[in-house]
Amino acid sequence: MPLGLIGLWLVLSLLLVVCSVVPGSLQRLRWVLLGAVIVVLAASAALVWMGHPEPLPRFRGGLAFDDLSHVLLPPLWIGAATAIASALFLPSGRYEPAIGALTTAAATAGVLSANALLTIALLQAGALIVLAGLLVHDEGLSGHPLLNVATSLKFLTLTVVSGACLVMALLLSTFYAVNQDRVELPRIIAAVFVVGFGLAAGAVPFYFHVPDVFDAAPALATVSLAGPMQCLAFVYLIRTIGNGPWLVTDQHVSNVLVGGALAGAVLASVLAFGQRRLNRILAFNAMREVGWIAFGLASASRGGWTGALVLLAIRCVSQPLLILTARAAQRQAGQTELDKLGELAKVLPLTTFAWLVAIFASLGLPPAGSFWGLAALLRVSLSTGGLATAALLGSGLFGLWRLGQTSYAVFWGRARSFVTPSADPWAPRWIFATAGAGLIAAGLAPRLLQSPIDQLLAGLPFLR
Amino acid sequence: MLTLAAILLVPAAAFVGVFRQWRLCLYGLGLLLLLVAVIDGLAISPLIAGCQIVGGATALAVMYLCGGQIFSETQQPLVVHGRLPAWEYLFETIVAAVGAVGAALFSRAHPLFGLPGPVTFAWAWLGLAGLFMIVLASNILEVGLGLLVFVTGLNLLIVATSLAAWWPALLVVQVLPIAIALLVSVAGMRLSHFGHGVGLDLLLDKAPFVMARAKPVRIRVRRGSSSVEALNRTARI
Repeated sequence: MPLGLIGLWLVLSLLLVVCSVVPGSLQRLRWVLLGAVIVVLAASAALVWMGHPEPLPRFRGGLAFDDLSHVLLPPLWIGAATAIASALFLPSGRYEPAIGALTTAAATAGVLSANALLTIALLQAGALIVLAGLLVHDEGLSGHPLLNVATSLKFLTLTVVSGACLVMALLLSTFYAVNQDRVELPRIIAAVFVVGFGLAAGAVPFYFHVPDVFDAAPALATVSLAGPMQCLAFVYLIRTIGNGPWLVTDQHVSNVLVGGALAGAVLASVLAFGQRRLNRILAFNAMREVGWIAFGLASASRGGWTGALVLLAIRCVSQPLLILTARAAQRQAGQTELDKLGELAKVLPLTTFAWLVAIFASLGLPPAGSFWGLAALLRVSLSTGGLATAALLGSGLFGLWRLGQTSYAVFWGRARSFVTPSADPWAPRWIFATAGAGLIAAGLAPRLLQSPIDQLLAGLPFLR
Repeated sequence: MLTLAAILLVPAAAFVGVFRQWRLCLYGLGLLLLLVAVIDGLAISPLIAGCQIVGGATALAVMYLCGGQIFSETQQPLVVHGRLPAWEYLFETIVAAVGAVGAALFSRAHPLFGLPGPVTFAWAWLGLAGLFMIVLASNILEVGLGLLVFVTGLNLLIVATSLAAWWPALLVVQVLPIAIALLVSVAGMRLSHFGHGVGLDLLLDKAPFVMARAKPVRIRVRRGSSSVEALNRTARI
């Protein structure tokens, strides 16, 4: 079955690549391609529904459909399909749907891979596809082509460094498994792994490239980075901890990681106040979420992992939705600076609804599904100590403050210029609204995520 | 033979970093890739060596075509970096020597993963040399060459420690240098299309990294010429 799932998304990618290469065919065949996206999504969901997931496997060659894939793949596909389907109808770059589908195929293969090296290689491949999106992109709204080149060079270098760190951590942990007397190794491995993972997931303080990519890359390349690729980075982290629990069962390492993750979340939410462009605010918001999820996983507790997995699954849909609705608003206004946007709720009511739901999901507010994840994280932070609770709540409140300001300024604040009715087709707006409604539904039916997560955690005895 | 190939990697990587003519740099890179293929063939398997030759040759061809395109467009002399003062060549030579000695000491002191000494030396040296090139780079081609040298060392480590049964992963790993060469080439050509050359100083000056400091983009605009100033003065009078 894993091969079938990868094949489905690969076929869709090839179809979109061919349509992108032939001028005008994306425009002509957009309804056919929308049908293809829906068919691939439905077929993938049906295969997952009928499949029998195995417990989290030991690292080995080949592919595996396990409990983790069962939890994360459906939301990952829904987020990616939302982005690809809406890009088919928007006047964006013609390679964007193909980039979205290719990274989704790479992330699907990575999530289904039981081979650590293949996962790292696919993380690198996905990052290079995002980079290709940066380089084939024309100026767009950002309007400075040098930013694209500079960002791509920075991103490329950091991607290679990230891959090297992850490979070195993998090899050292394999070496340690047969040389348990080398007691100095676990902390060295943890340090190297944290650098590699931090660069791959864009966690604070390894976030150097993330705001620039959000600012310079086309919408689908940004969606690919914040959705499928960051999800794959977390999947690799979870599998690594599952295979070598000694990485987080060392209390000192766990404490350092918990502190680092929460400090990163607070820092990201504070830094968002200094940003004037909408895309950069969203980049720092994404980094805050990464900090929250990393905190849950580093706590090495059942509650922490439950919260982290719920947040990870929900953000696979909410992050693409945030980025896409923000780009729709910017395109409508023809501006990217926050203080030049305003009054867009009048002309984009469905997009405003989707944006608000995505904001609620990002911040863990009810009725979004991530509320259950945040509640679990809060319980863990209370048992960790007052400082952890203060950091978690503080980052959430700062995030709420900044995103509330941003939402008001973009959708209800006074516009600098006359706001014209939207000329965009109706299809993307309805796609956004449907995805937003899905996010609310996930919050109203928490068992939808809780049941497979319980099944996954049952196979991880090292969790407290 | 294995030891000889590993030792020859030292001048090969040093040539890539020190030569001024871009074609000579690429010949140095070609020699380096060939030596790594020899090490692959002797220490791992001839099949991996064949893959290394095909992948390396493709990446090299991409970089060669990119270099040709860039230097024909920018009308600059065919040099990767300008003539350096003598002390800087001396500094680079000392850095290379220290790196090589460091890699040799590391391979003797920590023969990790049960690999033969020359293979450990080869990946450690290539990794160090690649990092030095990236850190000291002043234009896109130098960054690209540094990345390729670094990734070649990383690939050698990966193929030397992986099982043959992991061939899908090894396949992706072998393709990555080609993708890196392609992306660096596209970035270089985009930059040269703007008529700016390929220097990184320009990116640092004009790419709005300042936005990270939460300030608006400020791109310096050249002051008006003296004739315009004279015209303005006349208008004020």
